[in-house]
Amino acid sequence: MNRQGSRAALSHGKKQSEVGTTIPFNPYAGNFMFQRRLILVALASLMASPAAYRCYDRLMTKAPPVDAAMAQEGKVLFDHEWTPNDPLAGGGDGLGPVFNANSCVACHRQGGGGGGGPRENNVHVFTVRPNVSEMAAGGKARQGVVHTQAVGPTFQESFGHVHPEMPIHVLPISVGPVFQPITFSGNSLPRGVDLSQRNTPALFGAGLIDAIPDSDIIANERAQRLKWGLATSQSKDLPVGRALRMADGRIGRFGWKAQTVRLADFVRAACANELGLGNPGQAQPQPLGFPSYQPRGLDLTDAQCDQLTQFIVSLPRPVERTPLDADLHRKARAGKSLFARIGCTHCHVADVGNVRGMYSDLLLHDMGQETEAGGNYTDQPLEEPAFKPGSGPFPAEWRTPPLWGVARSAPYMHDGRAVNLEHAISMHGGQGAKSAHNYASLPVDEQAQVIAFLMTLDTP
Amino acid sequence: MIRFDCQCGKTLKASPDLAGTVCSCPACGAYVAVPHPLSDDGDLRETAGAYALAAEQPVACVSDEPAFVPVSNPRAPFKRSALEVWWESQQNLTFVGGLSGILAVLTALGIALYPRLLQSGIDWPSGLFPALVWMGITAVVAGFGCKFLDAALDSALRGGGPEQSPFLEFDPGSALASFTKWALCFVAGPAFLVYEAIRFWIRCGDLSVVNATILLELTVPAIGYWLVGVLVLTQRPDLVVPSPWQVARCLRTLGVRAVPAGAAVTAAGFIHVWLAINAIILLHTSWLTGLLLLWVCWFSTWHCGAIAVRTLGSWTAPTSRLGLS
Repeated sequence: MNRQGSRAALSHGKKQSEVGTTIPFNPYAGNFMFQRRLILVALASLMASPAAYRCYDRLMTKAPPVDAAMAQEGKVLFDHEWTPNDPLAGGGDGLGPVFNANSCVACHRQGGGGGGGPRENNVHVFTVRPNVSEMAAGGKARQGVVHTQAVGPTFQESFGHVHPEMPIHVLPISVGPVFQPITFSGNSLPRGVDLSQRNTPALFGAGLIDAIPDSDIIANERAQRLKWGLATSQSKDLPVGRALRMADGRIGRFGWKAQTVRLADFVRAACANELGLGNPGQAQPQPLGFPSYQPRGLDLTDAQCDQLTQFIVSLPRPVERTPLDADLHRKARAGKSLFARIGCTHCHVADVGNVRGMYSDLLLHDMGQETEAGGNYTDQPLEEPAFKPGSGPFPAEWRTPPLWGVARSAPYMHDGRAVNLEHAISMHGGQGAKSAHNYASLPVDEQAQVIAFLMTLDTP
Repeated sequence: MIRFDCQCGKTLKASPDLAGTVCSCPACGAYVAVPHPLSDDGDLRETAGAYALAAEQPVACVSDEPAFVPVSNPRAPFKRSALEVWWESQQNLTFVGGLSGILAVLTALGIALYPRLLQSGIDWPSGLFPALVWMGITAVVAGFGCKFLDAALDSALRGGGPEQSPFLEFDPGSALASFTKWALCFVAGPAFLVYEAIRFWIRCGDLSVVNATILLELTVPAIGYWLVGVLVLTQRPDLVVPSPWQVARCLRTLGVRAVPAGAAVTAAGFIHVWLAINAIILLHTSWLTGLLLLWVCWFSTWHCGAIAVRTLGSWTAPTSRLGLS
């Protein structure tokens, strides 16, 4: 009997010996009933698999649409110059009593409304850690903003309000062409006190960052750990970042320390802290020298905050602008590959999830002792209810800033200490030190190519 | 008459009353198990038994066609106790200990050097050479471990007995061949599943019950396929690839025992992966502790692997089918 005959016999359930012949062994022939059952079981398992659900879930993840009408209303609020008892402030006290600027656009203005801000708009933040005896007495760390302006001299804040050993010194301290850290006539800061500045970040593309799923940021974290031999984010030289996990498990992505999860929360916090506009998401700050001040109501409603958020979401994303000059174009292209070769893309990852050309992994990286802020280099993170216990940002940890739009967002680094891109690269320490060293080792013309590439990352 | 093939390619005939016995091939002299009439001549177990016999007792026992000489089982005159089997398996303790030490150092070297190589922005060709050297040395050393597992499997397939020590002769070539066999079985199926599992782990976000289930779905068949693939390849050396159908047939032979075996192997696999991850993490902070944990991990891996292949081998041993043990 030929092979087809044997197969037919087997398919009718007859044993080989009953058919009376022997078939040379062939794993692909015969026993088709078993194979069919196996395929059916495999298919059923796949269909029942939650993987199918996960795939569906991922495919369905899209950025929420922009409400044009709300965005228009938001633009009015964004450009509005707030005043004390402002009519737009509803039942609140309007601007202040302490603030850093009187409108959003006053700081977010480089490259158009929504851009970054110059160093004169830096925000001064402080952290005061309790000493041993204070801790024993139940003392907790304090942190906040020393505002540059107030609606009246009664409310004006100074460094003297932060700690009694510090002089009464009205801000702003230094807005000169060369960055100066905060010092007081040569005196060092009191023990446990840390003062630092924050430069205004650009908001272009913030809506896209807001729409990135947490899992995409965690993917960066895990990929980096695998790539660098499972080193942890505490590595002092390997570029292994970590996602900042909040107490509720969500991932932080906005702010220099990635301390805020959602754009809507970021907007609410900025309105309260920088303009003194209290809202349902964030109370306005109490003046440091007048802690008994009580606002008569909220300055912004949830709807107004949502309008502002919608306006920011509606801002166009930054672009990678192709130089018109052929020679410059060639240099920029070469610089792009050099940018990857010297290791910048270890942290400044070009794409995160579906967002292309952002050049950030949105992770916290240890940038070395020189960049510390929020405490001394060896200090543990401040315990805040917003973060998972022990997982807050360390003093030297900074979120990788997205490089899109970097051509028009000088100065650079978290406090604007770098006046240009070359300066900023040279200031990379800690996990970025090796790439900075690689850049410094390049010939001058290749360094220029890297800068030429970075200058193509423009605002919209 | 029962018709079956010898490994030399000659088709042999035997009367049904010789089924289950072992005969010598008149053409090549190898011992050949006469299959049962109810099983097709592709049944894996009889042929494997023949190979095992041929390897162990390569005595020429030629008889003229068509006469066959039934051979009594020379290896398993009595059933050995579990304690005895365990004690014999410990004879290779020193070997596995040393091997694990070398592998721990090699792993640590790889972990320490690779990131520095990557970070320095070194060009691909110049970075490839040290990577290839490291991979080659590691493959040969791991090959001796694979030989150790092969010896355990071979012993189990022969119905138990003292395992041939893989370090009696220093033969890097055969070690590399053994490593290649295990690597081939990994590439034939589990490589894809493991790749998918790692990819999913990277993308899934913080683990939830759903994500853990998906990872389990990918890991269980990956580890199971690997071991069964090796089993298939060991039993049918004439097959180049442990195809899914071969593995499925072998699983069918294992029957319901495959379920607890799969669960145990997966659990052991998870524990070892967890151990290895922690050892590697420790290498970055406390290299001595990391190295020690890495050694423990390798040492335990070889022994757990040996237990697994011994169990699988004994369940599919031809001698038990032929009633010889």
